[in-house]
Amino acid sequence: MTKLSITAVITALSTTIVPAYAAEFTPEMDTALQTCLDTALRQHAGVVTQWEIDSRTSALIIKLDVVASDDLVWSMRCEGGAIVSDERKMGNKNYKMLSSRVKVPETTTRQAAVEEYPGTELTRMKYSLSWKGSPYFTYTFMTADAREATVDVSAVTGKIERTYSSRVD
Amino acid sequence: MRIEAVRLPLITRTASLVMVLLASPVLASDNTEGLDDCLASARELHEGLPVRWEVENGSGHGFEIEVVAIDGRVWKSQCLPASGKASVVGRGIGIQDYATMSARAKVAEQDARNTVRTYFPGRFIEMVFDLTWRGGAIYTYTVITPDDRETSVEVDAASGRILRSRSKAID
Repeated sequence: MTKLSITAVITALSTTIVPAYAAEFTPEMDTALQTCLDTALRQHAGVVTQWEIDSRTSALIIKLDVVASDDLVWSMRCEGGAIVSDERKMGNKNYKMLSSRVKVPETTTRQAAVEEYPGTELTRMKYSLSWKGSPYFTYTFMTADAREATVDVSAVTGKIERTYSSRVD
Repeated sequence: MRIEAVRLPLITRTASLVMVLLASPVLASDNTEGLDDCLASARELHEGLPVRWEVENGSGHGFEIEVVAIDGRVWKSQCLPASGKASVVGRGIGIQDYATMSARAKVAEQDARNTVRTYFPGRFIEMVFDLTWRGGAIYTYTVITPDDRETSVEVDAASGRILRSRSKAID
């Protein structure tokens, strides 16, 4: 009886812990993500500076930030391809500078990053400029062997500039 | 008929040559071929633990291997992949703790190398086995990826798992 209950506890724990590492970034997720990004940009035309995927829930939830063409920053939440919350963040960002430096679309750089860590969970993207002013997209992955990995892809060339991975346990 | 008989093997030979030339980058991708024989040969010269190896860097001397012998001395040797025979080139400075190092290397270096090859395919440059300040044993590999990034991969010598990796595009 005790053995059975221990097994039940272990099974319950494993089902709650494992999905954090098991949600592989699939083409379906990619499509859902792109739908959300397009919907968000229709709401506020601008440049997406970051997004985060929460795939632990049954419905795919995406949180994203858009720097609009009037330099305002909008934080949005997308569920099932629809924007469910939309609020302004404090401060402004330079839309002209951010948008003019991107030469390669984010969808292309995303593919390059995913190819670096195939079959892993893609959790977030951040678009930023280096201290020298070079634009790059940073993607964060959770690998199957419990490493958090980041991939920096140049927004000018579309090539991977650097990667880093480290165990999280 | 006679001409055909002469031409056919020529075409076949040309096709084979083209096939070999096309396949050569794939064949050359494993630049650690012969390393295991060389490591075994280096250990025959001085029984101990290989703590560092470096692949041929254009010098024509083949692999450079460092072995910590049972008495703690560090021996450097070179080995040509074709021959698989290592020859000692000298002694390294200082003494290392062979007993601790060998006891902590639970996973064979070859297995760690295969793990790295799976996750980071490319050209191996070197391997260094060392202990961290906390006493953990680590194999650190340097690999050049096909898109010209220098990658450093650390593998836990106790579990065989990748601990961390870093890569940077070569300018």
